[in-house]
This record gives sequence, structure tokens and C-alpha cells, in this order.
Amino acid sequence: MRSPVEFIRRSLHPVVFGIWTYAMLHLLLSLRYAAFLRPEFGFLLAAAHFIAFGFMGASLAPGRTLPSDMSTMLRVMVLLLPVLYLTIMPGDLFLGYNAFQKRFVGPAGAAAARQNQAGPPAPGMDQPAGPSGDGGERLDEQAAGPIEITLRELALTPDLYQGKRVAFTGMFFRDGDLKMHFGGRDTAVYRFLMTCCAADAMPLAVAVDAGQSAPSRNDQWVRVEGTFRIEEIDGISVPIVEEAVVDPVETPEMPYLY
Amino acid sequence: MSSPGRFPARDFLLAFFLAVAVFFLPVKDGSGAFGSLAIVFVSIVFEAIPFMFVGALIGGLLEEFVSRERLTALLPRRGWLTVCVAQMAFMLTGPMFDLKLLLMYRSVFRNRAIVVLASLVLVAVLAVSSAFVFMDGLGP
Repeated sequence: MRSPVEFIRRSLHPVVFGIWTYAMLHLLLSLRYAAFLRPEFGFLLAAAHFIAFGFMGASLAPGRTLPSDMSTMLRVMVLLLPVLYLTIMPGDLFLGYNAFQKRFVGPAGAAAARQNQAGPPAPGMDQPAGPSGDGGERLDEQAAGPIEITLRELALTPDLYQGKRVAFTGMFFRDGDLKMHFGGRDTAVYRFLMTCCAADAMPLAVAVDAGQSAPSRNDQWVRVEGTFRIEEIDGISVPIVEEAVVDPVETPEMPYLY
Repeated sequence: MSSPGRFPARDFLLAFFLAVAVFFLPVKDGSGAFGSLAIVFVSIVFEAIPFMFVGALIGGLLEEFVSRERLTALLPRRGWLTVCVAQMAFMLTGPMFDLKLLLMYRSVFRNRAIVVLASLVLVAVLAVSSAFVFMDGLGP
């Protein structure tokens, strides 16, 4: 009969790769990986899943053991740490106002987003009636009501929506620090635009003149409907939605823009 | 090399890292600092893990199926030349493994052959600019 130490030595390798295999499969099937990476990079995660599966199979071969000392155990725990984070992290946890405060560099940041986002949005992602493709016709079609749009579209082609009534979803944020960016306005609605992974996601924000209709809680998902306008403040184009009606909504399936 | 019974410095670092990481586990804090930290940490790991696994796989295949003698025979005999060859190999493949560069290439060029060519041009530009700086003593 095998001793527990021997069992641990034999099973450490397959267990580590097995856990990683399962974690990546779960992320892929549930599409939860899109909370961390651009959806196009799913194939890389799929490749990693198959390689991890292969490693697990190879480590099941007889005679393969690991030392069971403290050093090995620590390394195993470090390797499993991201999976532990993933397990404990609530499923609805996304970058919020804290990351917004750290990363927001003012409305001029939208210009950088324009340079990074030369291509179309990822397939299957948020693709509202934007200006890409048949956008012009769609704008005419929707002239009666607000134009359903994303903050990405507003950041990429703000001139197209100047003076028009638009509607979009984002996260509500009210803070005194916003006043210096938005010409004295302290309320904005923002959403993160992911270029590569969540580590480089940048917030796209629009100032909102909402009055008393705005919710009081930061990071509440809202639908904003109002008239879009670009105001020149100290030489910077500041996007503003005036006469805005702000209504709380459910968190969208894909909270980030890509 | 650590003697038996002693706790090596490397293990102290690992244990410290683990303790800090467990302390920052996003158990309570939603969209606050801990939550952001956890998301960024996990996203960087998931961005890197495919390349780590591919690297480990290629390294394992080389280790198992290519003898050291054969590998050594493929490399120049002079040490500094070997370093240059290894550096060039990294420079040729490195940019292709950068997700941001891949996205940039894709958005600029639709043709795959041009993407490969563009990465080679980038590598060439890097090599020439590095040579220019170091050979002419323009560096600090």
C-alpha cells in the first residue's frame, strides 16, 4: 500500500495540470474569459487548454514523481494561485470606479482609443447601430428616436452624433474630481475599452447632465438617453450628453467594449 | 544550494508572495482596489499562460528529441555569436507573440503575408537602430 507522501508525490503534477485544464475549459465554455481577454484570443486559451491536458496525460505516466518538500509545495501553490483567484472572484466582478479613477486621463484619452481601435469590434460583441458600414442609413432610419449606440462608437466618431439624440449603456460615476475634465460637471457614464486584456483596458467616459434623475450609487449600470454634443473646453473636445435621462439597467452580458 | 533542514531564501520569497496574494484575495471588496488588482492579476496570467505552455512544450520537445550535441552543432562555436543567434531567434519570434502587436498588425494589414513581413521589418528596424546606437556611441 502506498504511503500518503508517495501518493502526493505522484499526483501533484497531474493535479496541477488537471486543475488548469478544467479552469481553462470552464472559462472558454462560459465565455467568462472575455472578462480578462479580448474574445478573439479565445483560441490561444483553447490551445493552452489542450497543451495542459497533454501535460496532465504525460504526467500520469508511471514512474514520474515530484519531491514532496516545502519548496515544491510552495511552487505548486504559486502555480494554482490564479485559479484560486478565479474561483473566489465573484462572477460579476469587473473593473469599476477604482480602475476608472486610476486610468482616466480625461476626454483626450478617446483620441488614443481611436488610434488603438482601427479595426471593427470583435465578432459577436456589442455592435449597435454605429457609423461603421451602413451607419449613415441607420442614423436616418432612427431619426425619430434616439440612436442606440455604444461609448466606443461615440469615442471613435463623435462628429457623426453631434447634436443628435443618442442612447447608450455604461457605468454611472459621480465624483468631484471629474469637474476638471468635464468643464465643472461631476457626473459621467463610462465603460472600459479593452485593447488586449483587462490590464490595459481604458475607460471611455461621457459627461452627463442628468440633474436629479441620476442614481446615487457609483458603478450602477445605467442607460443614458440624451442629446450628444462636443464642447471645446481649454482646447480639448469634451463629450457631453445634455437633457439626459438616466435609468438603471442590468449589467450587460459583456461589460467591456472591445 | 540549500542544506537539508534549512528554509532557502527563494522559498521565503515564495512564501511571502503567497501570503501577500492570499491577503489580497478579492473576498469582500467588489469594484474597489482589491477587485481591480485581482482582475488585472488574472488577466495578465491568462494573457501569458498560452505562451508559457507553448514555450514549455517546445522546450520539452527539444529536450526529448534533439540531443545537446546536435543543438550545439547548430550554433556557432564562438560564445558571443551564440548569444547573437539566440537574440536574433528571440527577435524574430518575440514580436509575433505580443498580442498588442498582433492586433496592431491585423488592424493595419489584412493580408497575412504582409503581417509576417511587417513583423520582420519591425525586427530589422529594431536591429538596425540598436546597431546604430551602440556602434556610433550615441547611447548614454
